[in-house]
Amino acid sequence: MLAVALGATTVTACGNDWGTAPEDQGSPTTADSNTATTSGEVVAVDAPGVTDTEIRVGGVASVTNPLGGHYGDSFDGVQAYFDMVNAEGGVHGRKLVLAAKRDDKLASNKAEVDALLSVDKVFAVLPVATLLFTGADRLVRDQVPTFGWTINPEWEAKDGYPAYNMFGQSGSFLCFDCGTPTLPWLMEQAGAKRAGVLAYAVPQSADCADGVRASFDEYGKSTGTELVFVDKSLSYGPSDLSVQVSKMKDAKVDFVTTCMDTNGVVTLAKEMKKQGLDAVQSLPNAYDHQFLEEFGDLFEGSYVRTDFAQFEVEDKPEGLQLYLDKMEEAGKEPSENSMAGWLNAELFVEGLKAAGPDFSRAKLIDAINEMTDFNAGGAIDPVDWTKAHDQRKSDTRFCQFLSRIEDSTFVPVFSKPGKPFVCAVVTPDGVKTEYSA
Amino acid sequence: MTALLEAVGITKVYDGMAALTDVSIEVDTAELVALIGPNGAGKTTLFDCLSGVQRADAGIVRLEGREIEGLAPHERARMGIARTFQRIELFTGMTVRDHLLVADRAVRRSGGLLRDLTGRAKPDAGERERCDEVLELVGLADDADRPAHALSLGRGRVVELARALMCRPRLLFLDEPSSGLDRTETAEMAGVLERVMEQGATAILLCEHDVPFVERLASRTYVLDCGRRIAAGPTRDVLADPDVRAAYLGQGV
Amino acid sequence: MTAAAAVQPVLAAGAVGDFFEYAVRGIPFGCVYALLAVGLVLNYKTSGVFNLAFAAQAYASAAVFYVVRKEHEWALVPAALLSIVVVGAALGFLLDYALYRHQRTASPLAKLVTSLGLLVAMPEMVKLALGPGVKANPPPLWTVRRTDDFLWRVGGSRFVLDAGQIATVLATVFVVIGLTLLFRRTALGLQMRAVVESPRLLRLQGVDTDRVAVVSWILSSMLAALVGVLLAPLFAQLTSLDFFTLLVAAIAACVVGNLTSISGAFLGGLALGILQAELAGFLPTDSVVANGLRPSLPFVVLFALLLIRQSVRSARTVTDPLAGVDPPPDPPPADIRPAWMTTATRAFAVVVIVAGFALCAWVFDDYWVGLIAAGVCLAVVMLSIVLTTGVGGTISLCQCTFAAIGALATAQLTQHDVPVLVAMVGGAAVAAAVGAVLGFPVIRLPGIYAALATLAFALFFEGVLINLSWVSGGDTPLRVPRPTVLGTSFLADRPFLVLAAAVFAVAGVAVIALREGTTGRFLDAVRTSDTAASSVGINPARTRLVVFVLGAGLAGLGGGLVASFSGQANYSQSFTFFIGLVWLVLVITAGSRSVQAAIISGISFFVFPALLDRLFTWPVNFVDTNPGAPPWLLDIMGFFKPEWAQGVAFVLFGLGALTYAKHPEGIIAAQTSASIRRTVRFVERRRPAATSPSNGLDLEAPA
Repeated sequence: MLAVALGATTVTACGNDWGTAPEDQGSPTTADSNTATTSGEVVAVDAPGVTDTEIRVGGVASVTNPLGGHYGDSFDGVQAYFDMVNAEGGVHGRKLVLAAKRDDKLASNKAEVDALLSVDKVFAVLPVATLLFTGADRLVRDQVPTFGWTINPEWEAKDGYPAYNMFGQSGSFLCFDCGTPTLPWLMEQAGAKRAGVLAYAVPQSADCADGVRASFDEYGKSTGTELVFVDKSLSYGPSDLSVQVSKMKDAKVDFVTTCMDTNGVVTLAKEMKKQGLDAVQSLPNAYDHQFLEEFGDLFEGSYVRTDFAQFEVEDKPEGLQLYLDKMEEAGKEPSENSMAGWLNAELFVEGLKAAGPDFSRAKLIDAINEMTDFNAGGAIDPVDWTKAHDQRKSDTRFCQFLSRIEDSTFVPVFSKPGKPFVCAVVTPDGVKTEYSA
Repeated sequence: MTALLEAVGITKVYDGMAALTDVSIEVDTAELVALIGPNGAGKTTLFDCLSGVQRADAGIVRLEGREIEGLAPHERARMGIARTFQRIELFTGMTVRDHLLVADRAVRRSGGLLRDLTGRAKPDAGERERCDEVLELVGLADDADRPAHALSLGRGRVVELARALMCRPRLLFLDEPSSGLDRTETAEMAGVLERVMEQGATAILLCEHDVPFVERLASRTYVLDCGRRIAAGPTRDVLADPDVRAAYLGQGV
Repeated sequence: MTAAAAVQPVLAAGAVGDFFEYAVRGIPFGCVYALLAVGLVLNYKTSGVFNLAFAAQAYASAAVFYVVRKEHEWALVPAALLSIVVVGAALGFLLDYALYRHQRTASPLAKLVTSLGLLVAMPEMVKLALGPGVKANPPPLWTVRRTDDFLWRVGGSRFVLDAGQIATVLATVFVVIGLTLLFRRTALGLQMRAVVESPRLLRLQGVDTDRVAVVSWILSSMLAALVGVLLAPLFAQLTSLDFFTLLVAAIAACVVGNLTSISGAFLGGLALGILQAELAGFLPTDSVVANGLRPSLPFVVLFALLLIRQSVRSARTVTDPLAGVDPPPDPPPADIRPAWMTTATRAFAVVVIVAGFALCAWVFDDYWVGLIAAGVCLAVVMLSIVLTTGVGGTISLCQCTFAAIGALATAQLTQHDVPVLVAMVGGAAVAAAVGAVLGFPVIRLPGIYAALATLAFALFFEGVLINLSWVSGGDTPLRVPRPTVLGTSFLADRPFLVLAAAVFAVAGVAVIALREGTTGRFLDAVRTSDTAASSVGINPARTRLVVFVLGAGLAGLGGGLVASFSGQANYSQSFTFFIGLVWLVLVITAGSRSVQAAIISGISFFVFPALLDRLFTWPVNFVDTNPGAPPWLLDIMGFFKPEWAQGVAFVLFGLGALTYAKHPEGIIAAQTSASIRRTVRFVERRRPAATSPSNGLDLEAPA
């Protein structure tokens, strides 16, 4: 009652401020027009975080969040790439400085992102590798170039959410519940027929299970595979999968995929071993060498996919080799996180170069969004940034890097010399295999 | 004319142990009745059943002929049944006057959210007058603004009594009002009770160990032993009863 | 295991066979619940503490075992002895000696708060001591490297147990039998129970109650250590939160045993494990029922048990036969505050507020203003804790949930173009309505059970409701705008801070009015004793319910404010159960009845870790910028690590709660009244002639 009464009186006076993006964000119109540029000369730029000698950027990662997330490595990747660029004279006559490495702790992602802009006054935000990304809205509103690891839904541009300034390590499109031919194709390659999927009853995980279901609905028939067991009602946290595995065994499942965290995946693998369920697993987030060291034997024959060429690949693309060398120089272990940071830094630098010596935030964003085949020296399958924000790379071609776990090591599979990535290609006659550089 | 309080056949069983068996009791308007018996005889249980804290397993309780079984304690309090406690139950952190005010507002249902939120929580003239009246009656006027917990046990029992009186009770249950008090305090308490009785508005059911105290105040007495009523009648007769002496007084009181 | 073999022949018999198969499959995990439940019951029965920090103790020992066994490669027996017997016993001794010994006569709620503080602080202490790194693949309490390296097939059937399960089942059986014998057959067992029920009676019989209590604590702490080491291999990585998640699931099993029966807890745990397996087996995996019921089973069971069990409802009766001779607790010293002092404190408050706004407007940079504004929004939620727990006397572990409900409702309303300020009021109304539905049964439960029921609700919300897209809005959190009023936009943080402060001020004044008014007095009466309160005509249930509902509404309002400030209603970021625990601990530490405590704890929740961050970052920067400094100085400076900030903040937050037993009114209230008393004494001494009319309580203060 009170709410209604109050509403009637205030509805005319109160409104909502959604914080629409201010137009013409920091574009250096004066510097722009009258300065003829030759490369190597420092051109005056009026942008936050940019002086005549430095371009300051800063990032935020989950480092000490009590809820988990140890993503601090991503700073190492950025730092290593910057060191390399600075040793060669920097970009547009300026050194790249990773001026702030913020930890978003328990509940302060937004505050730390705000601080990057208002206190550290950075030109761009990178890297971002966080459990939650509540600061994203501010970055989108202010159109700050932002580079990071795409594990949060905020990376994606959607209807009414113009996140065209947000750049993931290999595209920004995320769709958990979209069907792709990847899994059915992989099963066909592995000679498996009957799939099972397990997921938690939390949105991202359950959506992922729906995505798996959609994949088999669409591509099951043409690959001769089917999804015979789905359980997406698991409780997050420790649980017992004895019943699920016995049901999968009864359903003669020979291929298992999950939408769970490490805990769940390991519990499942132990239970499968116990009950003697001999099925191939596809592990979505398992390119982790410490994980392999501890649990590798449980996952013999399982497949691990990544967006980037894995470190074990024999014929290493130039970009990957560079990363490995620089990490060794810096005395850091290569990891998925630092690789993401490295890729972010590379896209940032390439974008900066393309934006020209009179660069600005807007020009950087535009420059990247015009790149049609960014591939980080072959370390990733090319990204077409003209559309990588809000749709998948292609509706018919799905590329990735795949390895299989053998003797507790990642052994690259389906990769050809010079063409490390493998693609499932949808054709009218079924799903075909192609290789990509 | 029906009695003020009429309890018939009250029975209460705890875990198979009968605490009260078929106990009947009557209290008339403005009379002071005593209830005596050894420890564990079921006196407090009977009080609890009468005031609604416990629900009897069998039996009927009537107040002025109206059955009140099934009513919650606070509903009975609003109907005019007040009580004090053997183990003193003062409200923490309140002054003596607060105790009285709380009781006044609870029974009259004159306090509440709206009153608090509109800044009218302070006592009005009528409330202050009613408090002062009772404070005067029981002799607590000098201690009115002291925290109740700072008072002696004897004064504390008087505060409980005053709090109960603020409910304008027609019927007042006093659970061992002299327990733990020294001779002077006991005498004072008896004096206060006599003044209350003089006003003629309140009947009292008094549960007591102190026989002289009972003799001085009570016109009639009930005796409980092992959950049964073993005697009832004018105080003098009951106390002279050999059975009562055996069950109760024989124990060396 | 023999049961498994016996069941084998009937397996073929369709549904009945399935039923037995699932039941058998549920037993090992049922033992996990049972072991935890038995540990909690042992703890509660022998100390009167419902020890949620049991999970933290288990984690501590598991971490020690991990470090010595895996990183230092000790042999199994010495590693187990160290982590279970030595660390477990030492922790138990310490808890009794330093904490619970001084709380023996404290209320069960005070003890619960202490354990919540430990729950927050202890894991972070362990991480600070043993290093924050990922502890992957905890080693089993067995000679193999991993639990699945030893498998045991049961009589050629489909049933296989691994090393971890065998150890768990055996340990459960031994612990249950051992404890049952201890309590039934030995004098020590009797004394351990009696020390909780009536320490005075025990002392009268010449028993050294302190010794009995310390033995109890050592025993239950060693059990916690055993549980920790034994269950750690269930997880791929060792984290304290996983233990806590398991523990709260086990609480339902404890309630089966009425919190005091070892065998009840054991059977409850087993039943829970079996029920979980049956549901996993029989419910269609994609159904709404499965999605809702299976993840939340323990909480649904807990809630249902609490509501239907008559024995729980009547647990309010005093069990101590000597309780009557207990001297009443020391009354809190009445604040004798002369009128001039009231004026002075009010003036001081005005100065602090004005100075605070001035600092925010002109001195602090955007980062700190942002944190402070977030803190002021949160302070409204904190105020709801003051209202519900401090003033209302109900320990509610679900204020964070009410805040979330308010935030989500606000977000949903703004999607339909309702002005956000109006939406916040709507959110508060929705939260209050939910509070009314929940509160109706809950406030009738005796203290600790009410706390458990609110915990069950919070976890049910977190486990089930928040996953429904009509509640949370799906993967991407719903966005919430900031308000404009009469053309003034509150989009920037500084204006928003003013708005939040205004909301807080209005709410704060209302809370004070309730606390000091009749409602507050009624609640004081109810808190003292339901019986006494109802004897004067107060309806205890209604009084409590009204405040519980108001508290829920206030939390909802705060939640809406938080959502509008952060631009979205993000449950995981702002309102999770774990975060809510930290809030509760903070408020109770600072002063559960104090409005100042609400604002201070709200702001500290954000500002304090950030301050510590700067504090620990400073030496690192010093090392970076002064490479020429003397090496010893660099060594000292290099010792500090910025990543300590979050941990140290939590340790201090948690340890703060330990002061609750000594200052139930809270640190801030205690300090305030102490300094007021000091000032009054000081002034009075200087003006001996001045008389101060004592009118401590506003209720009867002349106008």
